[in-house]
Amino acid sequence: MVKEKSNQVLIDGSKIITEACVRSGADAFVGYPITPSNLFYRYSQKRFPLFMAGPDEISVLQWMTGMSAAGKFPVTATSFPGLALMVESLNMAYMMEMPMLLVLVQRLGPSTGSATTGAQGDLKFLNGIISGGYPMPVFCPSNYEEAWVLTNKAIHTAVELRTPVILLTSKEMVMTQRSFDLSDLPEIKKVERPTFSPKGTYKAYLADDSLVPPFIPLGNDDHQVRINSSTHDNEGLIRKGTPESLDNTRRLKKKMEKALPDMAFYSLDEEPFATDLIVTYGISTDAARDALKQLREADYKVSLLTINTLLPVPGEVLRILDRYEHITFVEENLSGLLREVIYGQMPRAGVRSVNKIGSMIDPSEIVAEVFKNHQE
Amino acid sequence: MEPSFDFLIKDEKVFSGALSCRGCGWSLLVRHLASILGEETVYVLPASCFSIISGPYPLNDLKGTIVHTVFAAAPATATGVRAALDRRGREDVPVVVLAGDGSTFDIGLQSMSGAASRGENILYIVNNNGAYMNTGIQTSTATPYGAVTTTNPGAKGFKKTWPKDLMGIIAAHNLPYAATCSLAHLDDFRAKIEKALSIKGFRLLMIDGPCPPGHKTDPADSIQIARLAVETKLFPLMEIEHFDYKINYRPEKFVPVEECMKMQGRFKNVFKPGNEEVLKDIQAHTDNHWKRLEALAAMSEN
Repeated sequence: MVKEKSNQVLIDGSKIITEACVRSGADAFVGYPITPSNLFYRYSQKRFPLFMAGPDEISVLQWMTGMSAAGKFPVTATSFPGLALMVESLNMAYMMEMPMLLVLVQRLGPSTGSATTGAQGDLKFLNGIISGGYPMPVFCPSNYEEAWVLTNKAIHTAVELRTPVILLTSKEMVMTQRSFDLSDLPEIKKVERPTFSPKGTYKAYLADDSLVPPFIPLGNDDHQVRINSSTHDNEGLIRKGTPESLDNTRRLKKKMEKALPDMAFYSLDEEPFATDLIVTYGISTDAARDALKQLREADYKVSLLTINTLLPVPGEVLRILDRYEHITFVEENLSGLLREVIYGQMPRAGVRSVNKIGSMIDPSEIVAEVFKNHQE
Repeated sequence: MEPSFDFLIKDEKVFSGALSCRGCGWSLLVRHLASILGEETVYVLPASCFSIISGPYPLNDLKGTIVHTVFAAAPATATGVRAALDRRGREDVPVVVLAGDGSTFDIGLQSMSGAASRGENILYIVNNNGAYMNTGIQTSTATPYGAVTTTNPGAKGFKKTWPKDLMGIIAAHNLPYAATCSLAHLDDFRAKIEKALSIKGFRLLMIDGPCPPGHKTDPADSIQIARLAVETKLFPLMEIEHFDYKINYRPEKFVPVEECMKMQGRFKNVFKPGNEEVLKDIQAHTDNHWKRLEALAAMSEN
């Protein structure tokens, strides 16, 4: 798939991401039908060594946690209604520190909304999805190359940090077919899941300086393994409010913060001396690129920041934002969810949004907003 | 039960020009259902083909009050509606869940079982077309042994587990009324709706739903296939009142299951060389199921 030059095909993002999962070493897929993530379900049946069809989304996440605890790397794909049912189990997998990948295909909400209409409406939900505000990595591709590479990064991150990771996509990314040259895709590295050496004492949640505890699968011949969704000590025993158990809980956040610089993915198309910045991600990126081109053709100095690591928000991204006077966020949602994640309810002067629901944003709408922002 | 033979729709409650596929069982089912239930009925629809058939303007086709709810919990939504209607003194308004097999057999089973055990005064209708058709024909636990779906695909693939016995599960809830219906036996179907309406409590009707895109059939054959499902005993017509079983129709002569299966492209792999035993297994399973039903019916008569 990646060797041959000029390998032009008509393809959807579901196939690219499914293939990237398998080549990255993900070896199990659990699915439940929901639009617009159905193509993953279909493709995965043929590509994954282990494939299981769940009876509902709660079961899906539970099966995945069991698989992950027993040494497999599981993947699923869903959209908001399915994710909503997975939330308790996702918190469980997070607390147990079980690596897995969840491909979230955004569609227009709230609720059932419009199953076949794309959207970028789930970011704020993801920002608080772990009770207590603990961060979980959310990666978002804006084109097929990024879908390929970020899927790989997401799987490596999940294993290295022992955490569920979300790959955030939208209907247009995974269902719409586009012409694409597969030879543009780089080779990707298979993940290896490090396991604890059989010698010595094993404590399921005793972490070294990496802050990530060593993994050993259930059903090994050398050690008992205790994994736990309740507040637990280093051995995985339930402890209510002891310093050790609370430290263990705090560690869940610290391990993410420690790793954040290594998983800060974004691209900055920088115009020297520009004071205007367009910020976008995912399916709105193509429109933002078009707008950037139009603005530059009109001799307008503007830069474009496309963010791939949406959560936790990388420090480097915040530092880039600080350098610009006028910032226009471009997102296909009602009020600008990424802008709200970064600036809360009170954005500083010069920060504005282009937002839309029900259809994709048009480049002309971005151009108009950037002009308006600059003039104010 | 006395057959009514009166199966012509006199008072149409479904608009023409619906969004359903040609030969769709759901649409015919609802035409008959709605003509009996009237416009006051509250329909509770979880995500399903029919939520789409009856939903989008301007093709929304059902005259009635409709609550479009989530996939996992239509009986729970209906429970809330029922409780409030009753408190308002509107016990006369029927609350009817129209669900598919995905939400009934799988994701909503717990919700349905809860409402059934509480004896909620709800009529639950399940259109069993044997897969998640609306999302692209994925296997459900209602999918028959031997069927090809997009999650049991391939040149040789097919589902290799037996479907859940929903009527057995529902019987275990000790309900006042549960029955199976076929679109090829409309008189029986309409009589069962009327009977269900005359009873208070949780009632369930399971309809064998022809689905040309999912079953890979000619839309013109829908009713013929539904008829053959009854004749081959793949889909027995029965009623269960509390723990008493009654078989409503006994085919006069033996018709092998393959007569019904060979008309459906989803079973094509079962007919490939090397799978003769599979077909025999399906026949044996069908015969055994019928034998058990006869035993239960005989026990109920005594």
